[in-house]
Amino acid sequence: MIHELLSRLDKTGLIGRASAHCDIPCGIYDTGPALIAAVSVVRLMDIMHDAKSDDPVALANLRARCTLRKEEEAEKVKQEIRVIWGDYFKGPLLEKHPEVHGLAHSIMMKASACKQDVHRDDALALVDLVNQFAELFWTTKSVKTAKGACPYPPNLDVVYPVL
Amino acid sequence: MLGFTLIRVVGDSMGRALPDGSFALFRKTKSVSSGDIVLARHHRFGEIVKRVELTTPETLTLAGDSPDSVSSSDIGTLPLSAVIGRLVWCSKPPA
Repeated sequence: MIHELLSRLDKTGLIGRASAHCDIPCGIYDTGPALIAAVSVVRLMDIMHDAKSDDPVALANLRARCTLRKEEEAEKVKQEIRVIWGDYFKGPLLEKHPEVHGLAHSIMMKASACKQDVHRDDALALVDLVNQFAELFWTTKSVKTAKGACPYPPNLDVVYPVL
Repeated sequence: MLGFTLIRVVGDSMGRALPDGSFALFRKTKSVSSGDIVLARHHRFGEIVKRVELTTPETLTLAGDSPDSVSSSDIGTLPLSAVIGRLVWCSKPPA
């Protein structure tokens, strides 16, 4: 009876809403793995381009291994970003940051380009896009970020949280 | 409204205590204890309904009753000033 009366009153818009959020599995999200994978794509391309050997079989073996790893790392970028975009960004966060859709899609496209070929510019663009995604992600958590060169080849600037 | 806030609950994280669609009346207060259900203002989630997990003289942590709730670590530590009120009455949807 009371619930029915309140439901009618609710239809007038006079009663506010409060969220009782649910989120499986645990709310643990981080852009770090995606960024490491993106940097790895650049590194693998560099190794492939720079590889030299008097043994053509050894050279083919190295390039084959790098190609395989490049494929895996580019796919990892896509997987990590998809999870954050699909599971973490929702409701009010999406309303506040609608640009995440275009950014996530650009990462998917660029990661695929890195799988298909060995253009370093594509890999650099992938790192840049994931950096942008990381900045956006940490902004939603009110965590400041900084950008600095990773202390290993290819020494590219990456975004990391200042905790 | 005379120190009271009436809201409708959206979501299942409070389990059977406050099912989705419940109406809940909260009394304005800053004095809460572990186990209380409170309405609080969160910088990311907006207005949320959760149970008080722990309190200190100036802060508190919140958690949902359901295991599927956003974890208390994701909600983070909130200042007591984030509390809008403590649950004093509710009307659950008919089964």
